[in-house]
Amino acid sequence: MQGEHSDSDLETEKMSVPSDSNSAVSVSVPIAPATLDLEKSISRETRGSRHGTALDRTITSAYDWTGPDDPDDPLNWTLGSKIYHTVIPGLQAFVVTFGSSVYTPSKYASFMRSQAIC
Amino acid sequence: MSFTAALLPLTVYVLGLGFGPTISAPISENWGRRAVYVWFFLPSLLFTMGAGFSNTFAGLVICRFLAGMVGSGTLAVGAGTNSDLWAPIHRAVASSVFLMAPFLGPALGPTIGGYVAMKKDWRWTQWLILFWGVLAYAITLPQKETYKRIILERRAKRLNIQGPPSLVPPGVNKLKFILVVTIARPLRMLFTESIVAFFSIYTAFNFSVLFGFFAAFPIVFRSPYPEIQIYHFNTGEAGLVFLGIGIGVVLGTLIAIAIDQLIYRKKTLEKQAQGDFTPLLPEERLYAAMLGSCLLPIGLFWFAWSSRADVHWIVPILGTIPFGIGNFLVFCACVLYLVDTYGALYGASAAAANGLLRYALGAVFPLFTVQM
Repeated sequence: MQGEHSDSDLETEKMSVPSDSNSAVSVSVPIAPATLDLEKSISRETRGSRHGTALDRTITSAYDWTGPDDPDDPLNWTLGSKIYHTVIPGLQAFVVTFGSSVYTPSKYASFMRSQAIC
Repeated sequence: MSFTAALLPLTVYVLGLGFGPTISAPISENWGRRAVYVWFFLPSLLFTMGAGFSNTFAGLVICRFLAGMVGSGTLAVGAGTNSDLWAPIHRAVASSVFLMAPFLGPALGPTIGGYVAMKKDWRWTQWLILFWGVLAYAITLPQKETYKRIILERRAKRLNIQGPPSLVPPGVNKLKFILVVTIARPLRMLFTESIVAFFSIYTAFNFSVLFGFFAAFPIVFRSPYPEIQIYHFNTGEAGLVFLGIGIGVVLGTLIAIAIDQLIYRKKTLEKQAQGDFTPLLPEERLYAAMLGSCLLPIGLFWFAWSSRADVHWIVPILGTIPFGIGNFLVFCACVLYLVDTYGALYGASAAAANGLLRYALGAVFPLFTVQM
């Protein structure tokens, strides 16, 4: 259960990162907490330079992600890698459900054959 | 062999699909999601091969049931993989594309299977699954683990430090806990949670109408009873009829993405602009279902009233497009709504309940469609 909580916390943190919303934030929110902005800019920077620094950094915790920029977190993978891992369940689900109905047309053929025998 | 018995290899496969979460949850909990994709898909293909080689009807039915049951594991972990990879604001697009697959599969099956069955025989429909399956399996193999807890556990082992907290409360039997989440709790939610109950009944009914089409289309377009047949198609052409639903599913995916971008994403950004970073209410996911629920009866009445010999055959087929769109939109909104409402863990149980009822009803509906 604890794992679930930290998971959703992480997600709400992530939600504050979309880059196209930043301009809107700075215009309309005079009371926006400073820590949030700081966090945002940090995670954006490390995202950009992920390949250079984040991998070299020593990882000290396996209890949770070391931060929003943890390189092992699938949320921080490259877009191509994310798409590849999204395609896999799609492909398998297609094959499995394709298998459900691909058989149907042939049952009429076998049905007619058995009628002919009778 | 009676007409109903001839449908058995279809229905047992669909019934097997309903067991998905029950068998894949323990595996993905212990060994991660990759294990499910790698070790469930392969035996499913082997059972499909067994079905293709079987010489008795009983052997065929058993192999088809096991192929469906083992193959369903991959259906159940897909949603989890999605939430591993995408933050909530981007998730709807990814899950729309992912959910398109299990809807497109049943629609395209007869389209290709019809010609295969006509030119070759039914065994070749099984070889066709194998062909796609081997291709998909080759693409699957190089993937990495996406499940957070498993990644952290491996890191803990590698660095010899403390691992992540277990999902299973201490002192509770692990297997028992998983059985509660995948069977006992879904069944309880199905009877005690009105959201789960009504949403499941609704999507299960839509799904069973979809599978009812597998038995109903041949009556309209190509029937073993020539006296009630309306249009005279051959086996291959009768399979092409399902393209209407396939087009509906693809359109439904595009509409679901558009609704998400125009409403959900926009509202989220507006809310964040006001300094509020909590997710939107789950009800905001339901706009797609509102549209879909209107399209479903339109499509069904259209199909039923226009299936007459004096009306051109394209008219009833066009009627299945709104049905395909509506079915997809309602289901898509339902899945997102359940997960948003119940959170990750209870949401998984709610989705399991939904899948169980959906495939159980979908399995039995074709059996009495012809009699209706």
